[in-house]
Amino acid sequence: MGQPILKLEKVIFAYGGTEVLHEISFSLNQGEVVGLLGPNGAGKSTTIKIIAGILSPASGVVSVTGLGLPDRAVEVKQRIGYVPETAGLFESLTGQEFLELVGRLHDIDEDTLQIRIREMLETFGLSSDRSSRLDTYSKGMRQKVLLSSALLHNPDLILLDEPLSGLDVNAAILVKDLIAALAAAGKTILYSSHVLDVVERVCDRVMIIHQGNLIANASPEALKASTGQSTLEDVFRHLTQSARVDPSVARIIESLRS
Amino acid sequence: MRGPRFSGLLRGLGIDPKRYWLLMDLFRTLTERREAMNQLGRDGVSLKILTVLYGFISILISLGMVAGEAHLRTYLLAFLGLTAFVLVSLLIPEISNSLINPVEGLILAHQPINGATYTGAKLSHLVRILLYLVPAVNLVPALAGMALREARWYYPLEHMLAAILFALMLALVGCGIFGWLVRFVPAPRLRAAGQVAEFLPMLGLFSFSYIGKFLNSLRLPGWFTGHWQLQAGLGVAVCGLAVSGLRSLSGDYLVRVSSIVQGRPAAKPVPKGFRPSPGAAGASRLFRAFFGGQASRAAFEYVRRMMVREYQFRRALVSLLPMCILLLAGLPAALKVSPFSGHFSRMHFTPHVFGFLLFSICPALPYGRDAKGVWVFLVAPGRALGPFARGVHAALWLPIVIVPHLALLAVAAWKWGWLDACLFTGFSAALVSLYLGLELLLINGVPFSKQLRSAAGAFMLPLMMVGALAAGAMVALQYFLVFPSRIGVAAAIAVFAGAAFLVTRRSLKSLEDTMRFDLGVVSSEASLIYKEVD
Repeated sequence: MGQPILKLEKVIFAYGGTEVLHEISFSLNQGEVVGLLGPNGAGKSTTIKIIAGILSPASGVVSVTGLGLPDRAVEVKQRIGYVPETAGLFESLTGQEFLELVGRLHDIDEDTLQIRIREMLETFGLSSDRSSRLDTYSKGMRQKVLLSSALLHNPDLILLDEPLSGLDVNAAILVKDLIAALAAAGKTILYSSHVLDVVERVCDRVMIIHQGNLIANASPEALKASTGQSTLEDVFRHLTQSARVDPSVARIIESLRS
Repeated sequence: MRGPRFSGLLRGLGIDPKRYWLLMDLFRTLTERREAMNQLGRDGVSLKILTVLYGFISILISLGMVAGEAHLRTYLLAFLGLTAFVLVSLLIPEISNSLINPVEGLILAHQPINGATYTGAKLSHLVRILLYLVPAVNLVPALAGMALREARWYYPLEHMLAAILFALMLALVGCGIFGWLVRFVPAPRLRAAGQVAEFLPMLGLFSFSYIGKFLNSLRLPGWFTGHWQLQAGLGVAVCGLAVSGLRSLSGDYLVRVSSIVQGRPAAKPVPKGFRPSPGAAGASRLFRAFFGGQASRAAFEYVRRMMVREYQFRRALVSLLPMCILLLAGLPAALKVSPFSGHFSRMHFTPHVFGFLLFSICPALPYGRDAKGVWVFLVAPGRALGPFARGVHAALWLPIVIVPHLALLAVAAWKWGWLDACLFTGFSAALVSLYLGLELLLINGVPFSKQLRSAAGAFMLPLMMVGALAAGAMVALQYFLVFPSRIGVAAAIAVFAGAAFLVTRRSLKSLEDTMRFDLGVVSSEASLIYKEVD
């Protein structure tokens, strides 16, 4: 593995007096694909947003390629590609226009930008919809536009927050292959997902956040070995102390009968 | 404007010219395509209508003052006051909307844009508002002022220069104050603080005479004007406040403002032993009896809660708050004279004030920030819309008509005796119910299901003026024709209550049809929500 691309040291984030992240520390090396797991509300998306420069931590140090946040935020954002959890897009723009906007904000040379947009749209099967407004796109198509916009400026660090959400099977396979190819090309990827088998397959390392604490940080094999579990799902359930779902399901069915 | 000189100026202010123009083009495109409709400065049609409207009002005032041979100083101060009134009512909400609205922040926060560039692009349209409204309010009066006895040949120049400087100062101070809010108020409370900052200047203008009297009683104005050092110090302090506030906006503003919706506390475990509230079943039974079952209750709870929580709805009505506060403050004095005493009582205005309040609320009701939530109503059974409309009515009638009138009844009975209190409160409640019945027709869709239009709040001020005239006429009619006799009032109660019942029934049917039509339009435009995965 190469040089550290991302470093978080004792990062604390509080929202409205409630501490959401408690002294999180980790680093990502160049070319690594790292999975970020955790139950709903654990702090995964908050962690990613802090790295993307969208949220400011209450304390701690965050640096990307040696540039500190929030002081060097503009430069950091030029080195990051971010696919957000919820697809915020300007609905009245077309797919082409949105990608042009993002590319120009990243100051990409116009010829290069047009070539990259064409390649992205063709790869994701959006060429015929390039002139359609984004409010006519399906959920999966919007996700493809977000993925394209995150890669357009050739970032060093790619932050993926539930990137497979809404994608069809072919597109999901494409994204998984793309992640592997990007890692091989030296890109660093932080990948947050609830789809554990995909994380297990594509990630070199897995971090688990539970109630704002980083409770695991190792390769999937090491985690399975240290916890004595056979799958990543079992490791996850073991470490986050998730209850078996069967009784909960029974309660829901019972309440519907009442 | 896109040349090297202006770019140099932008760079000097910490703004990246290339990204500034990209954002300006983006905001223009979004406005042209009706996506960003909540910014008056970019909505040319609404801005031009308002310009003509305020121009007309200022010409009328100017003609009146010139005909009355007003003193030059009074004349100038009157138009500076009108400029302040117009700008405070339009510019401050616009600044708030531009600076504390995180919609674009959600999409752009992770892009490489610095705070100064984003703020510059966001606030550029404010200049357009100044360019339209300051001349509209002052140009003709400045020229007409030449006709005054003390005016010199250069008076129009003096007048316009004073108005422009005053307007620029107001705009800068407004931006500065919001900059301070963005800097120091925690993100979860930023919107509420912004709304307070929006309505406080308006409250100050409405209660100007009270503030003046208070300052006079302290002998402050004379003391203050006698010391030029104090005046200069105050001026420097205001400028310092504005500049430091603006500097706050040029830092990590985009990050701070997007934090309003980005950050959320971690999920909290549901407490063990959670049970529905014990009153829920009883309230359901009451609703079934009076308003038509669970669908009606759903509407009541939905509208009641959203009226309090929906940010855009609250913003649309924020200009009414000063009026409500001042009316409440004036209530003890108004209660001293019974409307049956034969003397004129300010209580005669009560039903018309409530009517005006509902007149402002009803048209604003269909608009909200989370318009995409309308899918919930698309999948509800069609037959639920009738009871739903009744629930919407209940959500307005109970808290805005019945509860205040019950409170009024208790106070009035103490002051005037039970008979007069019952008659007046009954008259007022019946008339307000009739107003509400008619004003339900102004609700043109499912509550909180449409994107807000830019000028929705901007026309509130002219409407208030027209409303005040109409209320005056109605008050005169009821004072001279109805209130001289208690029997007349009792008869009026019966007539208004009957009319309210019939009109409300008709309006509820109309509201149901309107909502059905509205939902039909939405369902035929599936893209308004989103298309499911192919």
